[in-house]
Amino acid sequence: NATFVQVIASVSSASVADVDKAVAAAKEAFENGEWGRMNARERGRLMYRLADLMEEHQEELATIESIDSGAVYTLALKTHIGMSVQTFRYFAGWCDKIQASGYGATIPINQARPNHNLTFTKKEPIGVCAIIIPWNYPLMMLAWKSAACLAAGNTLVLKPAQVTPLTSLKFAELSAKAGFPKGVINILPGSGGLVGQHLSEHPDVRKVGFTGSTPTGKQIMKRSIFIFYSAAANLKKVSLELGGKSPLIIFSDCELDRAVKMGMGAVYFNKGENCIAAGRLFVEESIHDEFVRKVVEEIKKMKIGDPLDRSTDHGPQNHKAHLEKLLQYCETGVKEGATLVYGGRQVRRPGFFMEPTVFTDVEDHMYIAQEESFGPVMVISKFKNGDVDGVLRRANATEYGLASGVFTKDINKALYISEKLEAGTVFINTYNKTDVAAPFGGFKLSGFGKDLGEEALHEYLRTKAITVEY
Amino acid sequence: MAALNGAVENGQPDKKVPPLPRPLRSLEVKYTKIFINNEWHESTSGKKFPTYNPSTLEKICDIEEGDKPDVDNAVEAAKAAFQRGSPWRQMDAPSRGRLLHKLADLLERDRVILATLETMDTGKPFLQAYFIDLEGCIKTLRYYAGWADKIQGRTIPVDENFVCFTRHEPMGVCGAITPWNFPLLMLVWKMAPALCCGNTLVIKPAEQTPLTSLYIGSLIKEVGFPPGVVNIVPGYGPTAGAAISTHESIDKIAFTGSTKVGKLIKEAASKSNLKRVTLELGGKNPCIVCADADLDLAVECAHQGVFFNQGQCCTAASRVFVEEQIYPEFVRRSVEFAKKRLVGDPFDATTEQGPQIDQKQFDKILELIESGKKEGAKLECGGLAIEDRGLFIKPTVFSEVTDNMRIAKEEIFGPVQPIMKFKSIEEVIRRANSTEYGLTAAVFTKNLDRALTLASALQSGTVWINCYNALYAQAPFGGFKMSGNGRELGEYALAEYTEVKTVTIKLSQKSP
Repeated sequence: NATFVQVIASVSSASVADVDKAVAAAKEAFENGEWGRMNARERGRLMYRLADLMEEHQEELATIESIDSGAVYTLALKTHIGMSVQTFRYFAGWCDKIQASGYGATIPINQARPNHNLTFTKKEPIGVCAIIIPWNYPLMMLAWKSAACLAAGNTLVLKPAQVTPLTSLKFAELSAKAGFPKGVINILPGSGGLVGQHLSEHPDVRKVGFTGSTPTGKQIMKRSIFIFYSAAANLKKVSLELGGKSPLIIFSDCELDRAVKMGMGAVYFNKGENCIAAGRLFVEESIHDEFVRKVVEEIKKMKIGDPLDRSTDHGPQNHKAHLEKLLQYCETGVKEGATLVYGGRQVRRPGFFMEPTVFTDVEDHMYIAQEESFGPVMVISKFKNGDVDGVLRRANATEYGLASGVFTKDINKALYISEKLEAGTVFINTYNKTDVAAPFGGFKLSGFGKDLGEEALHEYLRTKAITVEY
Repeated sequence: MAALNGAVENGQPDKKVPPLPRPLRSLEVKYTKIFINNEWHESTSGKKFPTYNPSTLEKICDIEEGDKPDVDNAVEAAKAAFQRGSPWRQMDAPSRGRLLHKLADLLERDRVILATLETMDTGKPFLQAYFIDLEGCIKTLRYYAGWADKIQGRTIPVDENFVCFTRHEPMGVCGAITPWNFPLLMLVWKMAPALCCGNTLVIKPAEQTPLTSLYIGSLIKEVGFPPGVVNIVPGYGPTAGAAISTHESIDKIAFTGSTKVGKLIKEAASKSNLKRVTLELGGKNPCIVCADADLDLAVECAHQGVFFNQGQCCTAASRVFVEEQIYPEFVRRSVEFAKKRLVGDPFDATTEQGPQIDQKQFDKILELIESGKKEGAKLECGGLAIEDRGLFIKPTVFSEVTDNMRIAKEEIFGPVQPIMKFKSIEEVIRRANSTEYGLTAAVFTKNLDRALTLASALQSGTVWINCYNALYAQAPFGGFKMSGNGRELGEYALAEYTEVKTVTIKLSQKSP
């Protein structure tokens, strides 16, 4: 429990044998069970029922999530749980439409005389899928991947993050209540090194989807390279959603108050434990000081406290090791010469609370300009008035490419920049506005593959072309 | 936590067979007025019209008779509900989907009531209304509920310095004129995609069968669709129907009915404001049985294909072509089936066939049967009304039918099965296609080549192979030639209820 630093419960830790059992169950369910025989519309009905159950139990789920991950209760209810329900409903609606939307195309190929040819394509599920998710949005990350996976007709074995297993287990109970046939959904709490690794190597797993977040980008990189190479053993499909150092560019012709509000949301939402968090802010010189002043003013209004308290704005970091890394991160920032304008320390109260922090005068070579903090640390750099191409170059000078944002009222600037930013999502005059219908995923070292939207289904389907001669 | 996964307590479906549903014997008809802005209105003229039960020939009740002024009011309401900034326009797509799901939930809740009303009004067997009409309605609503938040345009690469994308927007106020053979189902086929895409509706149900359409108005209100989104004006074709097809403020009209009226509607639509038109019209659907077919399957499918719903289906298999080698046997078995078909009270659980919808249809069918006899077809069984039983006609089979006979050319819309002979595939293709209609076709064969050759050669909107009336909410349905324009069901229907807008933005050449 990130607030009161107590043990909440002890959870069974899966072993290699458990992984084998789960994969075997998922395989049996896929190959011989009802799930494979069920008609697509029925799959959708089950998913809707599950979404309804999740909604029925939303307060319970939000409370568990808040206690387990430190997410502020009001956010847990609206986003963590709310978006999970929406995601299941959205993908439930796709189940019986996978053939329809251009997937099952009849392709005109050459009509050789005297025989005729007919080619049509089918989209099929791939089989047993392994899903490995992080601790920042435990239930929501489960929903993002599982919903698309199940809608496509696969079965799954999911490993929640070791530090946040609880909502996944409650979800498992609800899935049984909803009537999912046995073996379709399997949940294994345990360690990444053991369970995650074994899943990635398992020959009967046809696809592994991984979303990772750890304090340093390099650690996820290593884990994901492991996954990638293990996966290569049987050429299983892989999708990776990794960290980001997402740039947010704020021009002087923005609506300033809105930029301040959204800029803060971009950094401090979910106490900064957000893969799309704005890792660097670039503020145009002429409004820079005003911007910083307003941000600090707003920070002072933030209520830091028990996440279960409905009036809390800012909760504790997820776990001890993460808080410690964050404190180190800020120390490095100061050491390298950035200006610490606000925060930088642990809040003086029990629990893993970090002060919302602001750094200015951050130069491109600095550690805090390059590395993801995954915490409530705003990293601000100035840019020369009107230097659009210059700021773009700096914004793109990162190995990551998950999200990005631009604040400006000028239509040309907005569209030009969105064209040039090398990121999987570009927000214009808003931030964090993900939607179940919009594909989500990064460029470059932020990973590959998409969650959400119609595109996510592609990750969990394979195409077969059938050609008949008659 | 419950012990066993797979147990009923754990949410698993109860595998026991449920008892058959039973109709409500003394059902009071609650909704008989004009539905506008989620309220019930009397007709502007004060007139009412009766609706009858074709089984008993008794009047069920009187319904408010809508005419042009009522249609005008409905259109005003639908227009207002479609204004930019209205609650319906402001509603996000997933919420529209939720409303459609809830509507499906209410249809499930009131399934017995609706099936009873449908049987009272149309004479179709209650169990068929329950298991086929209502099942189709619920599935169609749920299917389109799922599409609401998936209606996507495209981003399109054009020249440098331009950003180009399409928006798939709702069309606006849609008129729907629905038939009496599947009153609620044909309404839902239009309502579901129309609402899914964000349109508003003005509906005129057939004057013979307004009851279930009016009942659904009460459910629309209960579910919480904003006022004006769905409006229902019962009345007659030449008055209320014409008011809709000629209305200057209706953006699109969808009609299911006869080809004759379909032509009038398209003409009226063009003459007024070029409103978009989709039409589902008649058919004279070929059912081709090859010598290598599974004969039992073919006989049964052909039988159900023509006799289902008292023969009152646009998909009726009303020209059965049988390869000559198996012709006598096919006819013999078909006659057996026809003689066994149970005609009677549609509320009786064993009844397969009820009465025809009204006197006019009844007379027309008997006239066509007489023409068959006169023109030289061989009457194998049936061929007349069931005396002293009102609008009931005996299941009728004709053999030795030739292409020039009226029963081979005209849509009968009654329980009459004309069976013809053919020698070769090329011949049957030519004969099957020699009609102005083109709605459905069926092929019975075990041979892959033959199946695919026929599937590609037949000029029909749907080709069924080794099955009949296999309709799904996911698969598009509609006619070639004079059987209609456009498609209902499937993703394709969305195109009929959206207007594509291309947005092209030029970026300034100078670096910003």
